[in-house]
Amino acid sequence: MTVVEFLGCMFLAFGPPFFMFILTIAHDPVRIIILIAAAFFWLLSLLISSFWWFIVYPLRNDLVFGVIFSVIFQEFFRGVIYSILRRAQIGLTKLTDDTTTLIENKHILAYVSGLGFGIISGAFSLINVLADSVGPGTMGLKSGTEMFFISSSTITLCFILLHTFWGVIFFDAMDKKNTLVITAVVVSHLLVSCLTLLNRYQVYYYTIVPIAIICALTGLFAFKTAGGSYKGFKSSFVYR
Amino acid sequence: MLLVKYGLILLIFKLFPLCCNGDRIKHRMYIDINASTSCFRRLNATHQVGCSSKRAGATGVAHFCEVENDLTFILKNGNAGPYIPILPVSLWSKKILQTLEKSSKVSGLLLYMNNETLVSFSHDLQCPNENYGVENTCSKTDDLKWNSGGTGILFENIRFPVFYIDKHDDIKTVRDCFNKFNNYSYDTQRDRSLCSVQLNSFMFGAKNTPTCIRRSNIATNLNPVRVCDPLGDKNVWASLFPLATYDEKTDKIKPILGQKYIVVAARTDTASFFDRTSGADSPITGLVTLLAVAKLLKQMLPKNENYNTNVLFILFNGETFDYIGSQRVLYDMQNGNFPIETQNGTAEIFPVIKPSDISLFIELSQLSRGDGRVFAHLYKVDSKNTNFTERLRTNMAASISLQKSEGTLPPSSVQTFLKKYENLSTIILTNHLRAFSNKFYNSIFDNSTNINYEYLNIGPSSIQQHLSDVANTISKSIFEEITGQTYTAQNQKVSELVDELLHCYLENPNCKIFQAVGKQPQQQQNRPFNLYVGVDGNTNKATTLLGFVLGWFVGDIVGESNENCTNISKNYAFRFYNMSVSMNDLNNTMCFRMVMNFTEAVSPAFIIKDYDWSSNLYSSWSESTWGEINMRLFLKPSTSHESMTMAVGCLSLLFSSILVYFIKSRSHILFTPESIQPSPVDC
Repeated sequence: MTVVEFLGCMFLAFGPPFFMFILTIAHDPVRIIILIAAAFFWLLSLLISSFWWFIVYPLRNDLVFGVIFSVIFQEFFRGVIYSILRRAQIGLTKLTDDTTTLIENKHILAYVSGLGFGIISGAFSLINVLADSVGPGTMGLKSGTEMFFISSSTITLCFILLHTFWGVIFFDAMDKKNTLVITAVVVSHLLVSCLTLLNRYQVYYYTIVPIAIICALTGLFAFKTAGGSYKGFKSSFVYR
Repeated sequence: MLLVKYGLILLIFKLFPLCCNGDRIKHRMYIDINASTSCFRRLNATHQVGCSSKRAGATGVAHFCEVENDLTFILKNGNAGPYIPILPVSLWSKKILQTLEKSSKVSGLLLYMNNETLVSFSHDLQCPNENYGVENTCSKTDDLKWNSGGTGILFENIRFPVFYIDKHDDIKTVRDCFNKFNNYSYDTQRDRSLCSVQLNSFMFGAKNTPTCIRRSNIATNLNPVRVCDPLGDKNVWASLFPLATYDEKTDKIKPILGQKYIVVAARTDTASFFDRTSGADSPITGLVTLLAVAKLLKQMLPKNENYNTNVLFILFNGETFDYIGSQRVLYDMQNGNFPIETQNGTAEIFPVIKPSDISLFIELSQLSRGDGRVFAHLYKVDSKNTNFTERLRTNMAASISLQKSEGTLPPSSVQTFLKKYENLSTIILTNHLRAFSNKFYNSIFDNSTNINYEYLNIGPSSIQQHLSDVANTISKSIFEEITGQTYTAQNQKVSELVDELLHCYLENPNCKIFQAVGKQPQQQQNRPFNLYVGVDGNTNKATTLLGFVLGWFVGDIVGESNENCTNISKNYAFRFYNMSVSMNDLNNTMCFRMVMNFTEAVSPAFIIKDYDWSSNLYSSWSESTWGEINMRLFLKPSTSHESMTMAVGCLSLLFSSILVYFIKSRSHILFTPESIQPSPVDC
């Protein structure tokens, strides 16, 4: 029985976001609300994407078309939630007990909404696959390899993390009106999404490795954007 | 605006079926084998027999075997179990079953059709229906085992599911899958993904009939679940002459009382280990001969000219499972409910026929040609059956020799009657003296090859000619028995009719005869009818058609074919149908009047109130219900791959928890917040 495979894949893809949620979000109701709101806006982008895919009948079988427009819609809605959050920020601070941190560190809002984007997109891309992995079988009978499930989970994990990082970078760039960085976010999102198109050739190593590298680089950039530095990193070990 | 709205909705609904044929990952992981049939579970008063899978289905690694050694090899050396061996159906024997039952490496069995010539293949018992017939008519020790090749697997309780596939494409799919993934370096099978089979045939009924009937009747919610159904269908009966007179002026029906009856009987059902039957020798040869006799007798004796003997044709259903049909007919006869149900046994439309009204009981059993001999089994010899046997001997065609066998009683419906009325005069006509000459009794191989049948090939030594000779002999003898005169006219030619009937039952149910009686050409399946008795309340189409064919043969033309034929008459002594005049002239229909009807063929055990199940008086077979029966192929991941996935997942979980906790607890050091002016807050 491959319940084992199911659990393994679930832990791999949803373990890190789960701990991020428990340890950094769950204690504050306002953060939960923002997370859910962000997820909702991602769903709206999915809806628009599917409508668009549906209307443009002749290109329906071209996955590239769907992917590119889906990315554009997702980034558009990231912009929408940015402007909404920035307007709602004052009101939000009234609600929360944790006023100081929310005001002092504007990256928290960005991180929370980014994670919301990531979790919902991860859920939508992986849950169908996970549901089928429970059965007695695995991939590889007609086509595909048995690495399919674990590869899908890894890519999903990367996407969840990437969405979080992009959230932080994007919000900061919007604050600073830095068009270059905004473009960089959109382009890297496009790049990573298009890399997954290679999955149909079952060359999973050639997609996972670049995606993981991009994920790590974006993570470092987000770390820096959020005010992190090598010095701080070093001192964090020394403290206590 | 409204128009636009509805236009959009319409557009979406129109476009929807064009796209989105949800191609799930699942569809790439499994190959469904639709054309598979399964062995299922039956229950009697004390036992459960047949097979069932676990609720979620049985899974196992496929192992395709060509010969028995392949099976022995995997049972000895297989290390990636449990296995589902895929065996040629010719290997399916008691010995193999015992081997598989003993092995802990087997979780199911898949059989496939192969065209090997077999000596014997029968899964019924060596003494079929022994406990419900006359005692000491079959013994397991000496040569009086009727079904000497019988393995009895049909009545074994098997702990794993057994499926059967007979389509070449399906067999090829399974074999290819096995060759691609499994059929090399058996030592390392554990370490790689293997082609596996899932067999899903979970049976709801368990233990025995009383238990499952009780469980079916428990109303725990508004939607009670039936876990088993009694086996049953319909018996068919018809009489040569009307059983009642009809006075058109007074519109009165008066039963004709005080007549004696010659019963000509045959069985209509067979069984096999799977949900698929053939039944050429048993019951089709007997059944077709009976139909031919009916046709011939109607031509010889079109009207009742004050004879005090009538002929009753009875086709018993469910005889394979402890004589269900004949037990019920006898039970009805004893209670005055044969041929129709009556109030306190008084005749209103039909005379009440009692067992004592039967002057002679002739049963047509397996009648395939064999070595050209026909045996008349006379259990209790008396003047009536001796005389009739003499008549048969005189009338028999030169190519067939009739032999009398006294004191022997093969498994037959007659046994039910003899058990209660031992002085009944009976004759069983069959093609064997001791053991069945049919080595494929109640199995899928009792097919047209077994009786050497070829459509449209009526040679002098063909089965068609043989059966029509036998039918001629019987009908001439019955003619003499009724009229007391010698039949002098020429033999009627019925071999073409027999040919067509055999074609209907063995090859194509869209045949001319079924079309002739079925009012209009019917859309039917191309596979021959399944002659398994089935469950009560679900009449087999074959039984209905059989009744119509019998009625067609003994019926009279009473007028033009029109709506009035079936609608207007309120005469309950007859049935009226529009049918074709002959099988070669399908479009020319006439109104037929016949004395034919169906009676319930459900064991009395299920209708007697507070029946004592331990009494073993009546057949107690029931069939378990099931949700779905299906089979699919898939790739089972290797244990090492599963462990790897799990390990990666757990590592991800562990590292992320540590990392997130670390960053969270050090966040004030890691991230130096930019000092921003707090926005003016409205206090």
